[in-house]
Amino acid sequence: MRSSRILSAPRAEGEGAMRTGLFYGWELTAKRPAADVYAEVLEQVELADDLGFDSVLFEEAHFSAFATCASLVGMIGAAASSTQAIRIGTGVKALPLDNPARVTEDYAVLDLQLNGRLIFGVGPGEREEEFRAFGVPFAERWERFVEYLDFITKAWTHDSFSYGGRYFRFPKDTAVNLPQPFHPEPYTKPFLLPWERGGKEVKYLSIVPKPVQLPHPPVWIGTGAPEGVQFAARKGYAILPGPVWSRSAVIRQYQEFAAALKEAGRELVEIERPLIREVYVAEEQGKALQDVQEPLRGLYHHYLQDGTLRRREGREVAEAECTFERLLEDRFLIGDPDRVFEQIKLYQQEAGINHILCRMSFPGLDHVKVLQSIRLFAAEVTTRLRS
Amino acid sequence: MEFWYGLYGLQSPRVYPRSWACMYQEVVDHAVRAEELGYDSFWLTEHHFWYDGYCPSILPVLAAIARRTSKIGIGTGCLLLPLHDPLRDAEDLAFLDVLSNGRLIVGLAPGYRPEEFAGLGPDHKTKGSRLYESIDVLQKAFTQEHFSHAGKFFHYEDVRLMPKPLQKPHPPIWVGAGWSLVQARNIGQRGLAYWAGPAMDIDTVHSLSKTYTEAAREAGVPQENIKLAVFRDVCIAETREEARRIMEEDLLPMYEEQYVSYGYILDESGGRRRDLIREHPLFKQILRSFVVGTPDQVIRDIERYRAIGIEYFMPRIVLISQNRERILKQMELFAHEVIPHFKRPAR
Repeated sequence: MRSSRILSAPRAEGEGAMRTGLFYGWELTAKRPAADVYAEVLEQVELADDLGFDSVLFEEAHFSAFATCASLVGMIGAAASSTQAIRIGTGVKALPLDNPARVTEDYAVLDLQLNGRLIFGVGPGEREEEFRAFGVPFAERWERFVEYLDFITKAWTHDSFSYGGRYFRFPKDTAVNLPQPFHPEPYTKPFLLPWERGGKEVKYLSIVPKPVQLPHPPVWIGTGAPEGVQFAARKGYAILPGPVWSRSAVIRQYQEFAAALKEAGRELVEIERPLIREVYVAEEQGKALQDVQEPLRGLYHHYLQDGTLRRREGREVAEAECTFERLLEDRFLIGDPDRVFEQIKLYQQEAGINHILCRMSFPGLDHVKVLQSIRLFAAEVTTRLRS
Repeated sequence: MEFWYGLYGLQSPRVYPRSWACMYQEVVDHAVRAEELGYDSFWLTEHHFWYDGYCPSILPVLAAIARRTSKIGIGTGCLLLPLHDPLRDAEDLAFLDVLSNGRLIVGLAPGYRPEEFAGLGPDHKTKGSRLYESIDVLQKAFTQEHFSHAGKFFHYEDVRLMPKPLQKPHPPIWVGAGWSLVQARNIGQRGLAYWAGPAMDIDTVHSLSKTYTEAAREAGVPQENIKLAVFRDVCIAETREEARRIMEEDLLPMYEEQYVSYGYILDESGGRRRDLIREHPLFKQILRSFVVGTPDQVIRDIERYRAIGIEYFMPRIVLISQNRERILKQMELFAHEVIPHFKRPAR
């Protein structure tokens, strides 16, 4: 059951303040019963909520024996009912894999369950086997992503409408209508009220219920796709660099993002600036390194083999670059609270980030240690980041 | 006998508007209460694009309930499977079964509203065959380490569902169906559990259940897999007068609103005449299906269903979000006065 309510640190406010959150990838399910992993993750999220963390994001992962959370809606729904204030979302959901009308419905319902706490992190997807299983052409993923996201945000913000996109039509008999696929229902006489329309052949439909947040939940774009940064800037959405990006890649992304925003007539300061990192704190530097060295070494060895590192760097990555020491320097925020605090401040100064999402749970790292790290981070790091 | 509690659609109709966000918090509290009161399971229902916000995504809500409860079954009543991608549903359902420690009950139905098919894509005419093919996909995904499927609507090659459901071979699957004898026979032949639809009198239920049971026996379905459920609208109170008042003030306005609005009940010229609804033959049948009265009267009514072989009974106390206090009061009265009678071993 829930731990008793602990007085939490004040939430981040104002310029210069830093928000803190958690991030979960699902490599955790390797070699362990999924039921245990999900229960532990929920317990960690509930503790983070009690301690005043601002957010938690879950990754989408299908069909893998190594990493799986088959149901993002289930995970977020479960966390919704056992937390009070923490924002919860996807980091990121691959939009092309699902019927966009269903995604519109699912995430509106989740925003209602969360009473407006949803973060909608999305991307075009990158694992080909997932596209194969769901029968979606992998080559079309970026175009589908753009169209589906357009559909979803339109559906959240309008009543009766039709959509004639290249890949998705709503209702299904709508003619393809490019470049303006979206059409609100025109006024007709006699005007039928919404409750007098059931059971008819329809040209326009309204997707309800609507989300709590107006005009719609915040959209964050995963930057795994090269087009992601430019697209987000044009739309005014946040970007979400993942944990595998090196420090220099993160700084470069935020520089590109700032430039692209300027070109679009926007400013970086008007947009939330999140970043995901591998984070772990213990009272002493040596103890922190010792706790996570093996788990993180194993995880990044996997990323080296399955091509994740290569995709992030855009080039072949040699095994020699993948030593724990190099990774620690380039990517990880691990150590005593002072050291981790300083490193986060550095990201704030160099990349302008204002929301640090910590992956603290690694395959093979004991649940109790994760809880300790979450507690220590809240007490020693978050408090200083907010002051 | 088992008692299911539901059905929550989380609607905000114009005759009883509510805040959606409030209802989504409240439904979890009601599930916690239902568990305390000893109901066997708690059920949500799905529709799409209906103006009052009828819940289109019940699985995340059931996940919320699973996290806050520990014993009560959680049911989809019903998931409109032909409108969905069965592989996605398989993943969500398996996750829910894992999360709830094996408490999931899967209720499935073909769906019928044309605008839902128009909006979500599948051809309305294929809903029956889609339903059964999708059930095949679910069962393969749940039970085979890697599965392949080449059907009329779906093709999968070497897909591995992770994680698998906790219940073995998989969570119980019920099919909800309306008034059709053909459907009842289909469900029986396939060895699935049968949940008879609403708004029909007991004689109709009886003939459907006989058809179902015979078809299942002919197909060699083991006796323990031949299961029958019904749900009835229940208005229960200490006095007969109070029960009738609840029916008049909560239940009938909802039926008038929803059935007339949706267009189930039209006058001869196809118009929506709320004032004529009580004279309508369909509505008269609906009225006869209600279970209204004191606990003793309700027990007598349910005994009639038990006598025709119904072992799962859902008192539908919540039709739409009526007066919250009255719902909770009826929920408690039914649990305290009616359920114990049926949980005692038969003499």
